[in-house]
Amino acid sequence: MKDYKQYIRNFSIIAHIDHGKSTLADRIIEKTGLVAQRDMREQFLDNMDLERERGITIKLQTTRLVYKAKDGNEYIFNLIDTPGHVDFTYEVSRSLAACEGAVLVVDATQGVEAQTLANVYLAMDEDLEIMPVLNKIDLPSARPDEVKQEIEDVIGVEAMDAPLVSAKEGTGVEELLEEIVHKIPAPEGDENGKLKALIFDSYYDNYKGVVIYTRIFDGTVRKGDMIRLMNTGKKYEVTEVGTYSPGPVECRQLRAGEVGYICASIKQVADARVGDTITLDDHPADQPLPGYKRVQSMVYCGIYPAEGEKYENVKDALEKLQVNDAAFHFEPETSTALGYGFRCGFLGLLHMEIIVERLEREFDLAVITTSPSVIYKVVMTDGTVKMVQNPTNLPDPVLIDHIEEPMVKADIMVPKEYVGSIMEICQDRRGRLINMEYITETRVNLHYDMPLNEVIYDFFDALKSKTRGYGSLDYEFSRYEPSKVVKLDILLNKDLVDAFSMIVHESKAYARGRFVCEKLKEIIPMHQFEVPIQASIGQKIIARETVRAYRKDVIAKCYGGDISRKKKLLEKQKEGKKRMRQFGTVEVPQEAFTAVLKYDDNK
Amino acid sequence: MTTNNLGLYIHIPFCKQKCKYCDFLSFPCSSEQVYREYVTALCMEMASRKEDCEGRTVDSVFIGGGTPSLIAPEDFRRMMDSIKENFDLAEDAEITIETNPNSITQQKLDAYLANGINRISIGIQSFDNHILQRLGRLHDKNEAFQKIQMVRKSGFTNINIDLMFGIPEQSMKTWLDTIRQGIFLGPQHISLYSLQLEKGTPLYKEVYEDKMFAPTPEIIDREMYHEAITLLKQAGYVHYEISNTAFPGKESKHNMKYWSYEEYLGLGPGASSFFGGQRFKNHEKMNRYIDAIKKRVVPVDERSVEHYTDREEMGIYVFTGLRKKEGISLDDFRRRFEVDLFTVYDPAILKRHKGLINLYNNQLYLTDAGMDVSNTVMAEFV
Repeated sequence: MKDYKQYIRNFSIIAHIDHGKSTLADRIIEKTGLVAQRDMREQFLDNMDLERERGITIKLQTTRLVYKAKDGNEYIFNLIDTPGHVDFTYEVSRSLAACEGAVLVVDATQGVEAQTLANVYLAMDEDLEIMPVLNKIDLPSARPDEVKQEIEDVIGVEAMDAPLVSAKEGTGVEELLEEIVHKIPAPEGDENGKLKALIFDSYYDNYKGVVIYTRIFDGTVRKGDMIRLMNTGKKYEVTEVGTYSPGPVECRQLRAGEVGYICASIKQVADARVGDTITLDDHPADQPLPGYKRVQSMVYCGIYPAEGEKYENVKDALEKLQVNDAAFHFEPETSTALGYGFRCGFLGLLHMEIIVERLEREFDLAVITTSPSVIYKVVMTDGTVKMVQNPTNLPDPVLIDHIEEPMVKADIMVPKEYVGSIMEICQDRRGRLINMEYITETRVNLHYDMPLNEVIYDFFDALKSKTRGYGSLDYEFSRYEPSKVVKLDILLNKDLVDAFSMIVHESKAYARGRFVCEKLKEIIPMHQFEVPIQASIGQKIIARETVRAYRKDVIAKCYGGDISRKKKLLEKQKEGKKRMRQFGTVEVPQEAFTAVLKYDDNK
Repeated sequence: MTTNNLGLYIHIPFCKQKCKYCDFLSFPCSSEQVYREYVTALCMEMASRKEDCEGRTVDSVFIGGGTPSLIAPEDFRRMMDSIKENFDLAEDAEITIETNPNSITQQKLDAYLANGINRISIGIQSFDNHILQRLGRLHDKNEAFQKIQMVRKSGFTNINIDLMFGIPEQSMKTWLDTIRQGIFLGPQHISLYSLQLEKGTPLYKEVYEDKMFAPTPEIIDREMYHEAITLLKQAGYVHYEISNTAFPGKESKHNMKYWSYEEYLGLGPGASSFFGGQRFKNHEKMNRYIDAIKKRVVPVDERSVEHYTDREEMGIYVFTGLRKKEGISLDDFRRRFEVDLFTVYDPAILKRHKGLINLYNNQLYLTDAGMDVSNTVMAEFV
């Protein structure tokens, strides 16, 4: 009997956001007969509505497929999906670590993108076999030969024989499946060795507790085993093991080379961290698998219940989200303007937007988010260091020796005609060009050294807007660097609204202050009196706008006793007010808090 | 219904020419013939309401417009006769006619007095020729003076003048001069209105589309209001309602009805009623109004009939009452609705609008600052 491992293929699909990864995954699932076409929801793997809408995968879905190959054998394909955004690099790397190979999907009309490259590098770091596939060949603008050449030049992998696929129409998928059997290596490992299993994802189930997605490298795990998580040291008894195909199917054991799930009555996702190694408590492995990292929040913001929303409801929802998302954490905080709320940490801006949208959609909550902030390293005159992520907590300037801000290494890949405008927006955001590589004759990779604080505001939006969506961005934290940053405050009707405060670079304070004032002027509806909006640094007012007054029917004639008309007017006013947040006498619509962060094309 | 008394509003929807800021229901018309036929229709409407008003005492009549002073003396007489014929008019009823200086004549004034009018309201708006022109008024400053004198000499002892502020490019000085002139002339009642630029009016277009003049900044508008109120108070006027001042005892009964949850019946196209516990309006279109009258049915626009819940009526009681300086009485609220106001409304409203709304001696009222943002506070109660 041949080794069972010979018939297993563990692989991921890596691709740029809209290069058709999910559609391709759907076709593969369909071709392997797992789900009848008519039962299939579009893009099977992306099972969160939010992901569907944004066309990106946030939460991993892993599926076990059975493929009957032309050699007559049945192969088990473990398709391990990866999240597709720059905020989730670490998760991607752990998913890739669970594989032997990666199917690299490149859009035959667009070619290689920065994010594709970033993921390819991650895959290469894990020593994966990279198998390029050209997608969207059905489109008239497809240029497969050029793109193949580009893959060879840029990535350095053989691409001339890459399967040409149209995931949309299903063409070429058969060939791709055969290629997977032939090109991607079977897993290795000793099923009788000491258990070493990698956690590459997890989610919380109301009945089973945390469900761990795992790849077994060595050994075997069964129900009833006492397991130990090597990095956290926590111990649990396994209550269930199984595979996803696509729903959970319990099985007797998971052996080296296999991919599946483990349940062990674990209370929250943070206890089973991605990247940790599972071993047996009584026969532990000597070393954990390499690559474990505790993910760190890079971006912080305040989340507050909107007018009329209960604090407890928001707290419950955040707790539920946290149980399922080890990268997200929160703690209570208060704001004079917004009352009781939470300071929340995220991997990045997208991660933040996703959490906020989930609060609104899945939990039907109305929340207000404050300006996102990075973590500043504040070095005090007495030599102590404070890490500050809430602008309100910035110490008195006289006590501060200097402040350091986080810098990132950003890779921006754009068609060459956009280089000029990208340099402009990078320069505008205090970016320093390290170098510029021509990947092909038409595509350029710009390497920038940039403050993270500039990246999180609106950089991605600006990039997309300036390059008509063709630009792509990847970034990673590099270091802390001393910087001249100041706290910018916003005053409405002379009162400071702490929820609008932000830390900005001195050189940007005036522009930022003006922008926020202008934006708020647009968004804050007319009041029955004029509302001055001011931006200040300390006591100094650096920008000012005024919201015009609204005076309809204040001291007007009530014509012939038409009370109903007046009533309607008041009702309308009241209705509008529900969506408002009251600051002293000024009412601010909820969307103001996010709108001041959005990129404005005209600016 | 808590009182048997009833107010009567009679709408005269004609003007020689519409003022540039006006979006009230009024048709430009100079035909005496049309006025005459219209008065006939009004008389018929009154007759049709006679039965409904059986047993009720009409203690205020307000003939408003439009420009009621366009109506010729004999038609006016007919209208007054019809009122007396169809309604039980209280002996001390306040009977007001609205007029424009331009159409006031001695003959008309004599007819008013002879037929029971005991209060006259004159649409002066300003004593500045420049401003009057901007508003598209038909009179000038001299005519305003002259007609006020004429009215007074005729024997009226209850005169109101309407004055307007917040007019584009009206200076504080021009406005306060107008107020001082008004005080000097000594009418018993002065109303002040902040100009509203309504979409679709020529003045709105001049300001917001053609940008011929800048609108008055809100802060200036508020200052104009406060300064005027201060001057009026110094001169002995009582600021009894958000936009009205009067010598003590000369407060307009009819005006107060609107704000005191009392009933009134509106006659003429577009006129609003609060009658028999119901709120409704007549047809606004003249032809529909006339058609209904001819068919001898009440000219009420069925779509305008409101079916408010008790809670909504409470809201109306409160927001209308808050226009009055004295505000509303919690006792009266309880008497009418058989519930305490603060079991219906959150007492936190007082805290939320501290300094804008006060509760003192069982009266809930807007402060001077609250009057500036009255809608904000009132919206809490609808």
